[in-house]
Amino acid sequence: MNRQSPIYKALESRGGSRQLPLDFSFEVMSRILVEERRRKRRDMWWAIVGYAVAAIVAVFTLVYYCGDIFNETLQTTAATLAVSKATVDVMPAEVVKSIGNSWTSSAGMLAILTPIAAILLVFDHFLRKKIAIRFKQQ
Amino acid sequence: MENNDAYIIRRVIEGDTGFYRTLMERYSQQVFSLVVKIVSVEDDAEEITQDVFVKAYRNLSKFDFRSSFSTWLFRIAYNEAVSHTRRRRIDGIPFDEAILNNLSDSRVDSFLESDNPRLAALPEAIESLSVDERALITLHYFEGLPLKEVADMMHIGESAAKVRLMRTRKKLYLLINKLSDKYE
Repeated sequence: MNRQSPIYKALESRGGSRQLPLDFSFEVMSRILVEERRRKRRDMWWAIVGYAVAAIVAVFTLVYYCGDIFNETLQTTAATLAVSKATVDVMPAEVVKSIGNSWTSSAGMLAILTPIAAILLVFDHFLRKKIAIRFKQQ
Repeated sequence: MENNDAYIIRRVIEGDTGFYRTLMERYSQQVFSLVVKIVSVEDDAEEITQDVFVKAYRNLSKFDFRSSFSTWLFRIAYNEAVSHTRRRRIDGIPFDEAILNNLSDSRVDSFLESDNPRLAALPEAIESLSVDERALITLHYFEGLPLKEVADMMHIGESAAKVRLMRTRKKLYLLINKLSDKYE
């Protein structure tokens, strides 16, 4: 860079004297902070959407895979209540067996639902993190 | 260490937005000076400089530390200034290709490095160039960036940048002579 060259001097004369206003940084920082607030709000909405999707998937999974277990448990419980109302003193062996079955079904249902819920929550967490990073980059 | 650009950039990426002010205070005048030379209108240049810093903040996580922060910032400034000028459809005067081709490089070089009184028309001649040509000579002759870096910024090859620089110098020569004739 030759500061003595005519081209350098001509370029220097083109608006080189004007200084930026003192509040320039303040104005830019205000714009940035407004953008940051918008981004955080957007992240929050994405989080809500993420949890809503996770909840829908969880309910769908529950109904699709565990609907039979629920149904069976409800029917068994209803039958047990009906029988216990009719025969206060004597409980037939089949009813005792069905109550036992219903408890086993409930435990099975829990065993399926817990890992599904955990997987969905982890998936949701990573999804939201990824979305947040993408928005920050934009 | 704490005044180092890389350190400040990392802090901003980690969420300490306030640190960005340091970068702005360090480079805003330089960016403004570059932009005003490209777009010619000071008020527009101030607005563009603001846009440059907001855009740089948004894309800070993409800064790969391979070049210096100022070079990266200049690239954004160049793109913003050029797209602003193109939006306004302001462009240079067309030249006859045959005249440009017949003009010898040595003649142009010796004229532009001389103390010829006709060179007083140089600022006005620069004003008549296209935005890309103005950016090219500003980045190379005023900011002192090597031609390879300028070529990268303009998304062209180094040899293409050399050719464009020579053509720009020839245009300046022709413009100066034309303007001088007008004044005489």
